[in-house]
Amino acid sequence: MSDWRETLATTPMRLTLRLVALFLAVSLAGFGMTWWLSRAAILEAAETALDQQIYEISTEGDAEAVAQAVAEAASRADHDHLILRYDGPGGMVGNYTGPLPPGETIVAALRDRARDIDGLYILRRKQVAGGELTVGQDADAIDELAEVFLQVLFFTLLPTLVLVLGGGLALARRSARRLAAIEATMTRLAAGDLAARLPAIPGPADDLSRLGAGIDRLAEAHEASIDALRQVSADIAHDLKTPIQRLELLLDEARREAPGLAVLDRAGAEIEGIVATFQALLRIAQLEGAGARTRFSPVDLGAVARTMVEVYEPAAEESGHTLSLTLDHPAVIPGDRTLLAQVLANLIENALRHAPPGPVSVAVRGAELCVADRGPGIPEAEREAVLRRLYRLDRSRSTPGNGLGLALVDAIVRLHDGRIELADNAPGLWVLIRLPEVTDR
Amino acid sequence: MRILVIEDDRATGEYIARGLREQGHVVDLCRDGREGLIAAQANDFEVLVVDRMLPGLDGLSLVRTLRAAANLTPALFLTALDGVDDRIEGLNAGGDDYLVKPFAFGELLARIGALARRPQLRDEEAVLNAGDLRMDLIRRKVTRAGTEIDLLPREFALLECLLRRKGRVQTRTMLLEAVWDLSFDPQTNVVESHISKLRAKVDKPFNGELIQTVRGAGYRIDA
Repeated sequence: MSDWRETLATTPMRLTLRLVALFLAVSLAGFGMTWWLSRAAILEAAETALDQQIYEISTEGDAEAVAQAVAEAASRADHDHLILRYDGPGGMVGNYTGPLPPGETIVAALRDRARDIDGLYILRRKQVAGGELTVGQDADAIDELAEVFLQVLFFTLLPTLVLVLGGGLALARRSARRLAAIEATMTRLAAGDLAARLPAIPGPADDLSRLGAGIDRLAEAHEASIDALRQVSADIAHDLKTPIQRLELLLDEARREAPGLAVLDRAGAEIEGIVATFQALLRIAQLEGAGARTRFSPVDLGAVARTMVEVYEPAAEESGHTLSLTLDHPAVIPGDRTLLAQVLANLIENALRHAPPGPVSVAVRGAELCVADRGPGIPEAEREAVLRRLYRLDRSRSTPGNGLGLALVDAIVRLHDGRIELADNAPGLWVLIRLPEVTDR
Repeated sequence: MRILVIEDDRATGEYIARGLREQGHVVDLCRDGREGLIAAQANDFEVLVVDRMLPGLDGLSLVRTLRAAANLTPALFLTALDGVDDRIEGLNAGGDDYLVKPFAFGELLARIGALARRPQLRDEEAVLNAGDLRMDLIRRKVTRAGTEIDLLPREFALLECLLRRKGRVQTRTMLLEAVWDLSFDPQTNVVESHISKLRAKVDKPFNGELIQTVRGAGYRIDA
């Protein structure tokens, strides 16, 4: 049902319906015109014949003679075909005495039970010898004309209409299917499946297949440029990590040669910081290029939250925070466990880092993850901005961190088709992540 | 042990080779993928250390080719790529472990140690031993010198991990992977904290240090 409703809402279907309506209107107008002209011709012929009869009777002389002639003719006439009536000074004579509509030329259905008159007649009325002479003949010609027209209408217009509608509908559904295929491909492309291409469209090339080919070319170019970007990231990663690796190994060697030299540990920590920033940037870039979705598998959010709370428990204890976990029917969602664990790691780490000692709560309700602290929070005006990479609040510049934590969280959440919400915990920051419970894939 | 290192960066390759030699290993060094493949096929190594990005033939294809030729020498990938899929890709290609650059030498050494002489996956083994420590995997019971020790699940898993790779160093990251199933480092002291709790239960009451700290590398239970 909805399928047909969708078909009706497509451009080809609308065009078809409009064409059908136009065709119908033009055909009916043509028929009407022909009908009107034919009927006018029949009436004219009838008028001429009737006028002739009126003229003949009017030559009889005075009212009495006319009445007599009418009575005589009426008695001889077959009232099915010929009506004669004279409303003269001496009263009404003729073979029809029923009511008559006014006018000079009348087309009317006459009915007279007594005389068995029942049918459509063409009548002509004229003043003759002080009275009113009405002569009429049956309108069978008009009836027949109507019948012929109805038949023509039935045998030509109706089948044509059915054919046009059916053909239009079939064509419309065909186009609709093609458009649906194009739409589905574009949805997949938008979702990051860069390898998505249109299925081959059978039949001769038309505007839709050209559009499809255009989309395929676009997707190909897009895929190529993303591939190039990935290659560049990989190259950068390789080229930058190689010297960092050498540094790391040199430090190792230095540590062995001069054990216990504190400056070496500081240097090591700096290298770790560089690597962390670099890694996070690369990872965000990679997530935004998508493609990771193919590796999605069921993830138990409750189990991930339990692990991450456990992992951060010692750190929280050390910094004077109390880490609590609430599980309320935690959902199992399709996702990447490592990435979702990373989300919680970053949020908990942020809370421990930026909030003064106090409670930090982690909660999983269905497919919602929530991390809340009692720290300074994030001013409302900056809540959007903190999701951007390398953005840092002014007051955070002195604390460790690279300004990538929330950007990475945001990228991961978006990869999972989820939404992130930062709110005021009055006081503190309240981060809510809504993940889709079941994806449409 | 005889180790083949295939690393295109001369300095890194030489540091690794030198460090491994200092530990008493015999090291061959290749700087090109094709050269590395030929060397790996021609000689019998105990461990291969393979960089993923190599001139000539990339690391993934190299290991895949070896595996296709039924060469099952344990391979450790070194990589600059730490993406979502990279690790899985590496393991799918037949790699046995995966180390992201930059790494500390101790980490590399521990992972090479874990790969070589890999136990024949005696998963069915029901009891693990070290000195007077006994771990019954079926009853989930740990005893030392006949005294039963109460362990929390994570502590049990941690001890099991160390016992299974007895005599070899387990690094922080290896333990995070094995016990917490985390393939990224959350930069917390969770491993240290659990090790110290484990020591308090397993070592302290018995005056015998089973769990050793290996400086700059990790932890080990001696065989």
